[in-house]
Amino acid sequence: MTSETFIIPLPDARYLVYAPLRRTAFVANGSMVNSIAAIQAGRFDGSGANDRALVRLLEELGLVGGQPDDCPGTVLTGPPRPVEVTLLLTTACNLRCAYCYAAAGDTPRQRMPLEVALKGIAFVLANAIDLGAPAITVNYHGGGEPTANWSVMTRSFAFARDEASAAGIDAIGAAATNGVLKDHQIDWIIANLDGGITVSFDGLPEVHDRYRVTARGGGSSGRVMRTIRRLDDAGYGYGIRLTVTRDHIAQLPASIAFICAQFGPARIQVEPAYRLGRWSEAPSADTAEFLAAFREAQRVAGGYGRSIDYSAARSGLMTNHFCGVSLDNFCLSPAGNVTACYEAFSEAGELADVFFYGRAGPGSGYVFDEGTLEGLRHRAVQFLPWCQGCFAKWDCAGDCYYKALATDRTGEYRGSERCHLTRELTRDQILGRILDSGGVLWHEPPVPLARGNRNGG
Amino acid sequence: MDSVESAPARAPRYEIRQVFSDGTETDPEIFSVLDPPWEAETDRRGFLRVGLAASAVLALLGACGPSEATRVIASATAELTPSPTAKPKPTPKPTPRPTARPTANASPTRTTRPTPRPTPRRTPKPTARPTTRPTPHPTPRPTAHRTCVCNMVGTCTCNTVCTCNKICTCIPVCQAHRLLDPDPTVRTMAEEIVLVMGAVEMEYLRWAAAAAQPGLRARIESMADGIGDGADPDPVRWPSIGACAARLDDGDPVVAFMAAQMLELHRTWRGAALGRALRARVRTRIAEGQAMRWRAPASAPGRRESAQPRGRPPSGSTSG
Repeated sequence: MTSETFIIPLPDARYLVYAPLRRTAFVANGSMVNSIAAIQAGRFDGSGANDRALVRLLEELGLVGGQPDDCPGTVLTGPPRPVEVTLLLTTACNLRCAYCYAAAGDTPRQRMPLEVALKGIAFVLANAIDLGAPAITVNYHGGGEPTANWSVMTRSFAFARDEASAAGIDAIGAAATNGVLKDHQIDWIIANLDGGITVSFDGLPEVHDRYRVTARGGGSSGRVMRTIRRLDDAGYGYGIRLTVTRDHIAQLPASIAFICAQFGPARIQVEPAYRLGRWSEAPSADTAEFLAAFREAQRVAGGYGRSIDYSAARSGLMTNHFCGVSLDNFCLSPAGNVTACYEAFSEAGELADVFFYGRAGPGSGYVFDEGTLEGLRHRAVQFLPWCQGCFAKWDCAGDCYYKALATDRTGEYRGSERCHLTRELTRDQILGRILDSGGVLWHEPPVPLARGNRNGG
Repeated sequence: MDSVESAPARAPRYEIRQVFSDGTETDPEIFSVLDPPWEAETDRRGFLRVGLAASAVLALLGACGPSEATRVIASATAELTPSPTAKPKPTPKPTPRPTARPTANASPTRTTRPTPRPTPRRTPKPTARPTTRPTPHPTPRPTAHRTCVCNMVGTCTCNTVCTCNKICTCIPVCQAHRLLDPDPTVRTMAEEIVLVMGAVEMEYLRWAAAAAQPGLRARIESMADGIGDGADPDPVRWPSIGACAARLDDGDPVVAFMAAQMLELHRTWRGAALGRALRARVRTRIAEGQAMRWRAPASAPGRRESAQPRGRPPSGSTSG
């Protein structure tokens, strides 16, 4: 065997045979699995006509006799050279969502000064010019509601666009928001943030209003839906992020139907509520019931010509990085320090030592902590022994480091409650790919893998 | 209600290994998938159907002669038809808003940013501002299989079998004659599909240019020049799935066909999971488009069967 091949049990003694790096999958009986195992062990007879056909088929699919797998293995080295900055503008928030990972509004209020934002933007712009990148990206994200620091948000992006334009490159803006916005803010977003926004919205108003409440305790669904309708009317691209608590699982399909019938988001992301921040003592929603509800919601969305996403199930992606944490994510806290993770937004946080890897240096530069950076870069999946036998490893790539550490600080990754969800939904996606490819097998040309292990290399 | 997997004690092991056998000798077989697993019955049985021997699957891959392949594929396709005794599944009553929305592709939410986005490629002379972000995992097109001109296994008329295992989108109709369409979405669809077809369809582009008015002719020729210079399609610019779906029933059959092609590109290049109902509409539009035989003449021997539109002509026929 020249390709890493996995088997995933299905009902009725069938097996999903999956070679992720060959983008190949099919459903086989035990006899075929045992034949493949025999080939791998070098004890396959192969003299009969059926045996020869089997070997030839596996050769056609690239599982036998070809070049060895080209595994995703990018690990950045050298000083970070980001061309994308995420500004964590404030810890302030106009909502008090029950499950907020940041407990926004309850933590000491911090606001990013304009000069911190401008320095970060100038840094990525200088990198982009040096590297010949066609664009920089400026993201506005949490720790709080980014629009609560409105002046810095608008002025910093104006700076980004003006400076980038002068350098002959593009500036792409994007944001995450709770959607409780004023008209002039919606107008500005539509006019400026080409990269789109993600709006947190839980679907059915009664569900949304149970968890996503204002600082005074009132529901926020009316304001959020008004924002979304304005985005729809403007033809603006946005995504919806829907969080599911254990109590809300049964209503997930109805929430998806409500969103699909009422609104036109480009993307609907569904995640169980994570036991972080204000929700750290709540019951887990990573349950079999969530899985069933997600599948039903997927069916409902399909009826509207839509689909729903779950962050770690992304069959066919072929990556060794779950997110930018191991790829020098360049996020600035309100104080101007560099963190790799949006969720590790505070220098006072329990995991700050793991994720904060830099600070503002003299002039226009930043000073990076090489040891911390190396630790983050080695969070790529090829360095996680626990994941090596998992069929979803090149899709999920070891999942969210922050969430893993938040539940187990031993340092050695040993899976999480999310793993089962990820594998089940990834398996669904693989079967869906087979179906979309005609129903017999999925086989596509391999994806060219990213090359270069140096920043800017 | 327990967590599905609390404190897992053992690392997952899914590597190839011998599996349990009750001693019954059976041939190795591959089983077809009938339905998306999320649409299967709750016991998750019944979404698998017929077993195929390795030799039959080889035929599906085009590794045997065309006639044998066609026979096997037709047989396999027939087997994929759901059983009439299958329990009907409840279908939601969609009431999607019929508006077209240009979309952003990637959410800036942390958990949805799995990998660094590839550097956006610039295509020559874009006429519409990109409204999407670069896709995080663009799937390469099956360039090795561009000789295929059919997409309906079992009804193939060209005696070739598509080995790319998916519906092709490289069918020229009159896309080039929509390059100056007043609707920017239609314009962008036309540009990107022409780029997808690429140099393979240069003959078509020349025909389209010759049949067009001067302004449009210049635009088509500039696209042809760009393709000659190596311009590639840019998924960043592709109209959103919603925008394409909204045009599947467009009164202009060329626009409806382009929308179907674009949706197929979303599915096959970008891995977009189109819903079952939408996929069915796409298949219908593509089949209708093929039946119309709008293809332009081509110099390659035996490649195209029709020089002029046949059947129902697209609106504004000579200019596309």
